[in-house]
Amino acid sequence: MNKRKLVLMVDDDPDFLEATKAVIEGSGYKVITANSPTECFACLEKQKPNLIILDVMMVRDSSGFDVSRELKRNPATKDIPILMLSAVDQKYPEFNFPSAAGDQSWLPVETFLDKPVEAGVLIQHVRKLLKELP
Amino acid sequence: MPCRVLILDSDKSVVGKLTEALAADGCQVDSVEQPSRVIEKVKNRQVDALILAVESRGVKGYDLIPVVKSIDRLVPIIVTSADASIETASRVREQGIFFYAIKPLDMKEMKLAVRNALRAGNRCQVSGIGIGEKVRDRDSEEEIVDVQGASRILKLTRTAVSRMAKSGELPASQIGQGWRFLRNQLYEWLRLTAAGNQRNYGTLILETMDEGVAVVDRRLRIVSCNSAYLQSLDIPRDRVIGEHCYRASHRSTVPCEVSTCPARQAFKTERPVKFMHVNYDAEGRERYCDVVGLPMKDERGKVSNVLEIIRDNTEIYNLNRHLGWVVGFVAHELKGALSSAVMNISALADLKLSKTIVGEKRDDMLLASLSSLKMMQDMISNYLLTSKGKSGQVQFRRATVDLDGDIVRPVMAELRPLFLKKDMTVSVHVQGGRPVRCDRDLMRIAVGNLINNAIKYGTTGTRIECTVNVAGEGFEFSIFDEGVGIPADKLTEVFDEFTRFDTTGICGTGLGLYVVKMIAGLHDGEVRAESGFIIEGRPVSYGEVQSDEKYFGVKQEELKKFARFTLGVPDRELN
Repeated sequence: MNKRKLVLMVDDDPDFLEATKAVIEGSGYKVITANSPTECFACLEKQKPNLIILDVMMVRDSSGFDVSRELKRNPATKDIPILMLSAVDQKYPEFNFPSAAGDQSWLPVETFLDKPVEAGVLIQHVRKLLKELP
Repeated sequence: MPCRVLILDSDKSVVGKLTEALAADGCQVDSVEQPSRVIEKVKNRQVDALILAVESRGVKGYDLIPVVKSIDRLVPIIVTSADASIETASRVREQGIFFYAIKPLDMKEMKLAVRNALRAGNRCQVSGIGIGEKVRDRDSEEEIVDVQGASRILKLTRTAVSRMAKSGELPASQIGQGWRFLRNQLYEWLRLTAAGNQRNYGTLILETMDEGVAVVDRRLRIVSCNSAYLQSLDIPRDRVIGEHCYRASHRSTVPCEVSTCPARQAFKTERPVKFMHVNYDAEGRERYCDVVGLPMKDERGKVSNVLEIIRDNTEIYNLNRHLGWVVGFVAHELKGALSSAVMNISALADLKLSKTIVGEKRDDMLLASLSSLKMMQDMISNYLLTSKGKSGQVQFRRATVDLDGDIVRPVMAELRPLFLKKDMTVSVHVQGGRPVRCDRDLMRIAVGNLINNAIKYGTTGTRIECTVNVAGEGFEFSIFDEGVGIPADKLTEVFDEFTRFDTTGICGTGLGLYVVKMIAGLHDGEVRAESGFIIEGRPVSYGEVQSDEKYFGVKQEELKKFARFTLGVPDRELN
């Protein structure tokens, strides 16, 4: 039996975490969740996920950006792909987040998706980042 | 407390020089290299003035300006750049900043700009040089002019000026054998004299205009202006006439770029121009103005002055900006609530994914979706009611209502999915079952918001207690929850618009309690909040815990908290 890949989800919205966890687990992955940057780094000390799904968390603070940069700076985590999610674009329309994704100094994430995102679309991107899709 | 200046600049030598210069002025200076740190510090109210370098790591400094202003629109922003191009200057100035400086920076100028910025931001006490005080010695000398200077200003011969000074027609002081004049008084005399000759109708017309009007000479000094112009800046005439227009309007020590200055453009092109320009009033607040510059030609056909007509559109501009911010804020919260519903429902609707979601999990996802949609419904309702309230369009119809049967119980039935999701229970105690007089629809919204608030901020698995006391036609509705509580110093602020505390993981627009207060007001009633700790099963207010010695030594961080809201509508017969 193949070992299930591990996905770490970081979001301060517990409802969204719960919904997305059910979807990702239903698609055959193991999921651990974190509600804040502190919890995120605590999880990473215990185990290394295959993928990180990270909310920008811009309403409360800009943690999502800082977390992504910190992850990419750390040799232990820099190779873990990051999928960033947010509902932020309406609050800060001056920023073009999707096109900024990949900018190593500003937004070093592999993919950026606007919320709300459908379950099927999310799973497709998860599979792509885990190299299960071409 | 020292004034706190934050610098974002990746050039360490510039940061070092600025820090040294501003620290000598008593400022507490901090520097960061990451734009996200700027946002964090502004959000935490740790910044009294901000110095942003355009060339910052990862992002252009001017891109941060709207983000910073959306968090705290009053923090004054000074922008620096090594790029002296007009394009960059325009891009920066159109954001509505306090000051713009080109590198290499003049530390004396930067100190002055920061002092004025801190004064304009009105967050801490500084002494410094402001409008009307002189920066350079040369300006001080030019306040007092001799006969030759007076004749240049008045466009009269020196003989005429001396004669008029001697006869008292001109305000002057005799010092030795010569006459001395105050520049400002000469300009004032010129203006009053103009009103007494054939130009007096023009002066009268200018004085009746709501728009500010200023006449600027080729050295960009204000020759004349009307009262509306003075009122917009809140500066007396004698401190404006003869002053550079950029110091009076923009609190700047340097003129604006030609491409953004109506006066300079009109002088250069010799044609009328129109610009949107940011001026500053006496408190340093931004005024967004449409400025028309009209070149005025002398007898030789040369443009000697520019007439600027300034229409202050600040109210409209701020309303638009606030509306934009509100729409963005509300849209963001709505998107957050929508995200869970879309995730759940799309998973259930997906042929492949739905097969992996069975039994109880399926029920949980449906309940969660319904719960999210109800939250969205409430958010939209509150937002619309707030908008109507601000424009005076709320319809109020008082009717005889059974508070328990017509309002409390139906609201609880609507919110049942939310109760179930958090495994919470509700009890309702009614004392005095008589009908009351209120607007049923509005009261449903108010009670709904209070109950919704208790669910959101209450602890999972706890009980919410509602009490209804009816007295005459009036009543009190009280709701108690065990949860995150309300900070002791925010019991009044909790009813302010867009106010939320301890919002980690909790969706909301911060409008629910504001709407409750609005509805209470429409009924001539009020709503109040209480909070504290639950000690041995009993609610104890913060005040009691502080003052009663039996609670001294209690570890507050280990205690559960409560919140109680009481909405009261008076008995109108008694009033």
